[in-house]
Amino acid sequence: ANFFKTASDADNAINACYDALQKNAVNYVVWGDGRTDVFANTDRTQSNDLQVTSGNVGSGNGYVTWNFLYQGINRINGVLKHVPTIPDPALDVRRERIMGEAYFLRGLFYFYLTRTFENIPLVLEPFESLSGELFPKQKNRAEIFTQIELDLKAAELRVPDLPFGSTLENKGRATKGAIRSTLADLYLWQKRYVEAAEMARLVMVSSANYSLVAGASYPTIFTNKNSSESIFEIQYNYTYQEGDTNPLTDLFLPLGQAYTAGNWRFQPSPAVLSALPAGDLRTAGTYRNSGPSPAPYRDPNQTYVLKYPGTVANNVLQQDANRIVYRLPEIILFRAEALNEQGLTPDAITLLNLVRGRANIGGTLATLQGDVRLEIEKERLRELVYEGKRYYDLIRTGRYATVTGNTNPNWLRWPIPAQELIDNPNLVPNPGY
Amino acid sequence: QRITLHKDGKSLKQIFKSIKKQTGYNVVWPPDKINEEAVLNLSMNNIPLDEALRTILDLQNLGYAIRGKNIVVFMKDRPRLYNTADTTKLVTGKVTDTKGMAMPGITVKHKQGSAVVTTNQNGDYTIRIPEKGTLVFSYIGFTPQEIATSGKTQINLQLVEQEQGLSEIVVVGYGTQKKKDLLSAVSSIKGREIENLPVSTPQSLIQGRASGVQVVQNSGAPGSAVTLRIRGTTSINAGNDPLYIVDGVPVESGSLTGYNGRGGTPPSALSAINADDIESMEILKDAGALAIYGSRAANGVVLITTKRGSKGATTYNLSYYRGVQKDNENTRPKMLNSIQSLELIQEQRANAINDGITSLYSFILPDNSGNLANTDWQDAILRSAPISNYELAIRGGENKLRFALSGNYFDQEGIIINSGYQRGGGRLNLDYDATDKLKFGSNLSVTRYLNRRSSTDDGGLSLIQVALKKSPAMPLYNPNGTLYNDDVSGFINPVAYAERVKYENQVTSLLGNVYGEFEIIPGLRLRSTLGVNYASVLDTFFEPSNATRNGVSSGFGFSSNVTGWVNENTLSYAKTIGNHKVTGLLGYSQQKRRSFGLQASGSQYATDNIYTLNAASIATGVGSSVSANGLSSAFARVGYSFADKYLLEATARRDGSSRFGANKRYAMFPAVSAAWRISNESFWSGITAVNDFKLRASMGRTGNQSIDDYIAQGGYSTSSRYLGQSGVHMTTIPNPDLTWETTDQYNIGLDISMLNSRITLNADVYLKKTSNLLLNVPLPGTTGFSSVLQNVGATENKGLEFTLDTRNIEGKKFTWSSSFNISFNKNKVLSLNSGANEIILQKGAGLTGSLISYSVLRVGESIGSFYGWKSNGVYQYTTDNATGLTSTSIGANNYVFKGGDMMFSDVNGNKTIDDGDRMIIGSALPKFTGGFNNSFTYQNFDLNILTTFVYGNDVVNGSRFTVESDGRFSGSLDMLRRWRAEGDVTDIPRANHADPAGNKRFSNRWIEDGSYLRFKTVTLGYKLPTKLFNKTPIRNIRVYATAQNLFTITNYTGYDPEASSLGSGVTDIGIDQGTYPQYRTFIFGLSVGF
Repeated sequence: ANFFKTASDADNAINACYDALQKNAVNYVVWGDGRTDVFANTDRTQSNDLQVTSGNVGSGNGYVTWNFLYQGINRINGVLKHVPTIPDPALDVRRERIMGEAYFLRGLFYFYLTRTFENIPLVLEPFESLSGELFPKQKNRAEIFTQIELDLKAAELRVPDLPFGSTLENKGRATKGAIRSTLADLYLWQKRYVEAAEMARLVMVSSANYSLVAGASYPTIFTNKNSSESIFEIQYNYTYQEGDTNPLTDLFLPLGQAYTAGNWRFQPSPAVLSALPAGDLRTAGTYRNSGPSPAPYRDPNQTYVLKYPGTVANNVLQQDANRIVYRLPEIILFRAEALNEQGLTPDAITLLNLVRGRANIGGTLATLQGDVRLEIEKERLRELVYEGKRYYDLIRTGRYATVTGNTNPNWLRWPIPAQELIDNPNLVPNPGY
Repeated sequence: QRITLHKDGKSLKQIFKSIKKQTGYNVVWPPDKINEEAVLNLSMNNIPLDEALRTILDLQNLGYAIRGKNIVVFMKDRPRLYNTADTTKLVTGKVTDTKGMAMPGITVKHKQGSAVVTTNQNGDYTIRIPEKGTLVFSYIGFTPQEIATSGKTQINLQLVEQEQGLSEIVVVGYGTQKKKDLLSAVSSIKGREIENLPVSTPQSLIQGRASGVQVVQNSGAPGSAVTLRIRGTTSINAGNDPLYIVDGVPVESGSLTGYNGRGGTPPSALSAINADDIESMEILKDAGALAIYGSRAANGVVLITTKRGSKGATTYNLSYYRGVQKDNENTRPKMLNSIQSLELIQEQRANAINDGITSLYSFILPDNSGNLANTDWQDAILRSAPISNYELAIRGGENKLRFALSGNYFDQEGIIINSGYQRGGGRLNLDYDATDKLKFGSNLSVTRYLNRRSSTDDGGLSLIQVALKKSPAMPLYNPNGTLYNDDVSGFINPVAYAERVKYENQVTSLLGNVYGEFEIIPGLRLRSTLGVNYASVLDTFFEPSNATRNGVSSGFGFSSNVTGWVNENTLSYAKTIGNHKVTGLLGYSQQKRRSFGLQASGSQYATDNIYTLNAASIATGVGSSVSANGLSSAFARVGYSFADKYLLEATARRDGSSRFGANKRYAMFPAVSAAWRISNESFWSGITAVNDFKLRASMGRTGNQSIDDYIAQGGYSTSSRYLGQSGVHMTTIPNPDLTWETTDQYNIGLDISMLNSRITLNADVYLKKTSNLLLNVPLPGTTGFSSVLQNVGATENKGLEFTLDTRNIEGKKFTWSSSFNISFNKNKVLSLNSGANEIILQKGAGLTGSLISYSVLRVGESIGSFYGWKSNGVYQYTTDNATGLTSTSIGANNYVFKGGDMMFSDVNGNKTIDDGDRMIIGSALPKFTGGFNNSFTYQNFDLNILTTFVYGNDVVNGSRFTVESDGRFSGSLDMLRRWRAEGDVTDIPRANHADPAGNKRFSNRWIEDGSYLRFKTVTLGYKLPTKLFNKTPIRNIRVYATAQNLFTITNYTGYDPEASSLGSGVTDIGIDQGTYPQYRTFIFGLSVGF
């Protein structure tokens, strides 16, 4: 019953791992931005969403699931187990790279899992027959982090800076830049600032030549996709007819008039509106108000998130915006944060101002380490809001309760999915759910 | 003149020449009728001509006549014995039935000789027979009569229909049996009971007519499938539909659609069978009858036998009916008018804001135009619709060849606009007796049906759901007369959608077989059949852009072929020696089913007027699929009876199926049955009131293999593409140990006939235990899969069934007969996958705000148990929630219940209403079901009334949920008594669209008693007196009127308690959510025989 026999089987298998990453785009943003201060309700917000906005999420909430992540992990584990044993010599030129891609994706999936649910089962073998491991126990976040680092390091060895022939693939699949960005993120969680700073630096000087998009062109990062500052984006394109769409478009855009647009289930919160004034060049790419003449939308004066615009073709809105995992400004802010935490505050300010300058908001006035720390936090909000970062940032820095006012300590992690607790007797629910 | 012939071995021809030479007479003979080369060894010397001729010709059975100068030789067509006029006579007469109707085609035979004639169209006959003898009058289905002829030249006769019951023939697996000799539990429905009824699917005619069978008409959609359960529900995943065999060929019984994207019950493939072609339907129920069908028989078997030709005058039957169908308007939810519904919307918004939740829908209805319509959306999509049927059947046969030819056209419009079902078909059944020992025959039917479907059931495009949810303030038409499609709340205009969307399923099917049968020695027959079952399916879907607001046109095409063949070879033997009667059957069978499908879809059509896919500017998908399975089987049956008193039978079948894992591919299914006819014991001879009394018992094993092909082998999907590049991943985990579900069944029954068979009672008690369930075991998400099919778990069904047939009054003018049956079944889950005590399954939620219902499979409880919260009415005051009960799992977390919220039971006592407070709140399975059929005749009038009943099941009233859950823009009149202020005493909670308390969660509030008693079919017929047309070729004329679903007595408040909108799966039954409503049908019909 083993499917893996030829080089093209290995290609198909690794593609299926990326395919898993295309599923449930909404969840990544709801997990990473929900339960904080960036979403406000609209008159179309539904009960699952209401819980997310308020922060008070129950274990039966529709966003509480991890099945699609473990589906991806199972596909990846299959690649890691079988690709080394495929005898086809045609595979030799890319066998290691495919293995590297798989290690990266597994690290990334577990990174999302443990940041969201904290203590989770660690499955490293593919489940291919009924003799597989049915009821794995949970491991704590530190143990998961250790495995993620192993995976990412294994990936870093195997994947070059520009492993593919096309730009599209170099943005849409694993590169050294994507792997090191994830490592930098991980090291910040582990408070390993020296390594975090170094990883971010390596990305910034990568031969992939990542460069910031001009401030005035900030919205094109999301409309044109795969910009020069993009490091890793989950790709959607309606012309591929892959069956996977990015429903974040539906989540955020208002109801259409000329064509069917979105469902406007969340709108930007006052916190976001005040953090991003009109003068900030990023505002035009982050949110917009439909104004008195709402066309092509139906209702006037609605404020909506613009980071997932989709493509309008033949007067039909295709939900195929990319979901950006990492882009250069975040890596610059990673390095700024890592240097600031090491006490290298002036170097941190230089980097921070790089991002601010692009947005045309001038240099920061902060000079003290503590103030710069808060400025970086705020800059990450301005730059990266609705890209699924805020919740993880605030948990990582321990500022969740202070910033959001949500003092319930159980809200620092999402509930273990209710159905999983039924299906796997070895799972322990997270406290308070 | 005299003749002289010498004994020298001359041929007949030479002799004739010689005669001509000697006499001068020409001898004329028909050379093709006479063997002129026959050699005769005769010696004649000067014999008179006439004597000589007689001697010569008599030996050849020839006669002669002298005409002028010719001697004409001819065949003597009468046997020598009656050659002389003085020993024979002509007998004439007329044969009628008990009602005085002429009976054509009756065989009249001279018992001692070979003279045979049949009656003509007026029932008249003439036969030449000897003075002394006996005439035998016979006809299929009637008791043969023998009449002595001495002294009579006219014999008029009434043939009496064979007593239903004891002498009736019942079809069983691979053979027939007399009903009185049955050792097993079999229900039989004769074709004459179900003629000319306005239904598209023969399955539905079983309802109320057979014990042990529950038939549920899931939906009123024309052509739609019904759910049929024989002796309960055994399986959870592997299907519970019986095996259907038509004239020996297993047929498709599910639906043959490839596209169900808009919901609605799809048409049943069995609707291709014209019910009026059916001679009988037999329902095999216990293991004794079923084991011969082995691995497919666990859910019972329905054998359908079609009508065949018989010897005698050809009969022509023309039938026609036409009528109208209409839903019962009293069962429609009564809706708020537009003013009332606007009040409701305002109130539910205001209450949501009070609860601290941003309110839904800031805009006001209707749109800015300000026009306020008052539309009755149910009335807009429902209509009264015509139904009609045309049929011609020609049946007859000569001595060696018999035929039955029929054709029909059935046209049913649906009660939802633009839905309907049309069928045209023909059938030819042939039987040919090549010799006394060798027979051939064939059955062939060709049918085509077209089903125009409605988008119903669950979802935002469900016509019924939308009709109940859409604001009455929205107009049906624009001021310019076009359909209004701009509902800002996002609801479709159901009329526009129904009219503009093309949602069709078209099936052309061919069902046929050929057989040959050879009697090797008397009693030993070899029979070989080859059957074919072919269907060509075409699904067409087109949703033009003007079907919905801001619509994008999209279309789908699906074409498939399903081909099945079966070859069966049986050797059967029957022998009676004195009191010992032995029968035997040995068989080998193989069959295969293969399906091929091709599908394509597109969107953004160039125009709304062309539905073919080439008008689509974007191809959104294309694919093909192939699937096949095979079954190879050997089977045997032996029977023995002694003195008609002790009967024994043993059956075994060994099946091998391609569907199962390499390790578990073959299995054996044995059964034994025994019966004791107590009434044949000598000690019984005094009891004359009971003319037959038989006890039966059987036990045996059957299987269930109704799972998808290839599951055991595991599977990969190619759908996992990325960056436009292909991807492959595993979707099904291989399970090489996968095998049959096994059902062991024990049955005890008794058959009693009393008062000369005027009262017959059949009773059975059974126990069915099903193990190795093919269960989709849920897997933790960490495996990367959601479930795997495994052989785990067990269920049990036990029950009682009774059938009581009585002929209450048998007068000359007035007769009354009744048939009553009732069946009790109790179902229980015995075990599930290891360690699991229950599996909770979720259904519904297609449309935001539709009811999410849950069903639980729990050890010790019955399948189909509804699982939800228990509510005890509405809090009158906020202070009534003294314990500070909160809501957790649905609505707002930690919301404290207050006045106007539902009072839910805190079952686990943790002060909050969460998932742990759910309990079993109903069961979709009835306690008993049955039917009561009464037939009356008075002179030429006949009246038949069938009532059916179901007791003790629960139905989820999803329609009431829709109109009482204040999630949208409309509501029923009951919403007027909603809780509005502290102190209100009511059963309807506060209006709040955000529903923070989860008041509309799945609770017993939505569950209703589904018991009903229904006047299912009432038919009044009148046979026109023969004398009105006895100068014409017309033999009989009957006119009739039939009402179906005339009225229903039930406490259920939805459209109809008989509804299953989500299909027939064990966790889908009993949910009435947007179901296509049932309707009443009134037809007038005419049936003419020539």
